Amino acid sequence: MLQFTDVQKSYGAKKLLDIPSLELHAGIYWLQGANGTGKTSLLRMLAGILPFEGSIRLQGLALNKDPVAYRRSVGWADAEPVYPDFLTGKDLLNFYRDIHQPRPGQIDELIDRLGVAPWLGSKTATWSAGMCKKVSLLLAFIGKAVLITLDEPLITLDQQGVESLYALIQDRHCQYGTSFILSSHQDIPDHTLSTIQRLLLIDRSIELI
Amino acid sequence: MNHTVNKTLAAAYYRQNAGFFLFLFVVFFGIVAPSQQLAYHYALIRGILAAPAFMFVVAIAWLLYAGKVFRFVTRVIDSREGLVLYQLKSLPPGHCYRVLLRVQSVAFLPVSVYALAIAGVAAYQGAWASALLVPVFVALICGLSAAGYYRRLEHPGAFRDGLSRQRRTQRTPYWSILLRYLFDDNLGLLTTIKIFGCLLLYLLLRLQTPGDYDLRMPYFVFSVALFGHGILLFRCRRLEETRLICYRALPVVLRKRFGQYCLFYFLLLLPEILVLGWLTPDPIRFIDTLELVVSGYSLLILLNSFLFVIALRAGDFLKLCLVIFGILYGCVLGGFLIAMSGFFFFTAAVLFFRGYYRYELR
Repeated sequence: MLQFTDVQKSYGAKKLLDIPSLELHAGIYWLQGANGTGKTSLLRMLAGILPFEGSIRLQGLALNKDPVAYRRSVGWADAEPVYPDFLTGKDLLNFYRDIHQPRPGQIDELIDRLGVAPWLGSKTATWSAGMCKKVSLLLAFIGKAVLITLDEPLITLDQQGVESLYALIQDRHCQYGTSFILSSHQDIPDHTLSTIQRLLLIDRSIELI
Repeated sequence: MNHTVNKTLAAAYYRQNAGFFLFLFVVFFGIVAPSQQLAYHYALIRGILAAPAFMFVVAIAWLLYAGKVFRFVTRVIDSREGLVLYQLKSLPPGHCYRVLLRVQSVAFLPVSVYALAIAGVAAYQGAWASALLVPVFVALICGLSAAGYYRRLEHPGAFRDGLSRQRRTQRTPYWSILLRYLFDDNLGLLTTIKIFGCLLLYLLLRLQTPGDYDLRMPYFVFSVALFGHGILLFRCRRLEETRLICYRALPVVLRKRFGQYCLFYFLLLLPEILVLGWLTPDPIRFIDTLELVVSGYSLLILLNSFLFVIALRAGDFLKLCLVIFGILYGCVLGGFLIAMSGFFFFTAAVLFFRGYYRYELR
């Protein structure tokens, strides 16, 4: 499903990631690693936000050769999402809807399941960190992504939000075969998600455990 | 409570818009000698009262100002800093409304004072309808604005939901987000740049006659106005790099991304284009209008593309702007502006298409 070939990421002289070769099959992955090991950078690279050296392929689509088709196949939510203060949740949804062209009813279903309807009409400036997080997760699920990467999806979420998110991930994976990479410092939930695998970011590379 | 409300709203409003009021002060009182101030304003007010069209323009200006105050107050109410204002809800409704009305009246004071002067002159001239209508109009604006704030406090979600229901079927193209950013967060700077650019351009071009046709000074003023646009452009890119990074992850083809910027900068430059179009073909020739528009537009697109190649600090970016404006002004004097504009646009496109995905976020 996801192939890394000679992927390197450096900031100035400091090399952060060096992944000569790695292939991940479809599934749900729990990415762990100490602070500063490059989890956020890796997920941003996968989302097409950060440039890097080497090649990343998702179901045969190379990020650098088919940038639009690749991006259509990837959803992404940031660890600490921020949006322009003057936009409302509806503005963000409209913006994503125009670009992703989701199936009818998908957005309404996501709104209901994540319980974000009450504050979608208000400006993002008035949102709490948890509200922002839920909307960013919702945006990541819009469309027909085959891989969704969620950076620290559990921080700032209340217990109900965490459970809703797990259920969403499980359903999406079972119904559409969507793969997930979730980065988190927390332990893997015991039995909430099935077939979850652990990825460890260590020594600038990824190890599948 | 009154002190807190005044500090959070009225005082904060004047503090935030100090530059705007300084500008207004210069426009209203700085262009006439002190000894002639009274006569000047008396003549101005008589002109307003004599010409309904002039009166209409003044009314529109007051409404725009009221909108500016309203936006500021509601933004504070909606923000975290405005949470303290929700204590007003513990007051009896009439008392709460009066507090908000007082805030609105203080923020609206510059207009109210001038409106009173107009009403006074109208009464002196025996124009009783105007003498009555002007204060009523101002009172109505203040009363309705205060009612709007009251409603916002009483129903924090309802008003916004009403708006959002209308927006549910609306589209939110990328260029509109950038434009809204300028109107919402940079209105003062945007208005100042537009008024100075358009007004000076208009005044300098009106002076052109077939016998004394020299566009070097208008070109220079236009370049300075574009330099101001450079600051807006830089702020837009800052917004993109901090709060809109999700856009890079979305499946949008590069030519469409470039097209969004082209449309945005065209809309940004539209007031100047309209002023130039208004003055064409007399007193300014068509080819000169074309040169000004094309050079200004291509310059903005080029500056935008530069910021997708290298991450510049504000100071370095302004230095780069100065260098490019120097080159542009050299082209004006050399007479090959159109060719240089074509080169700018071509370079902008190449830089954008090559640099967009390679650009390293700060």
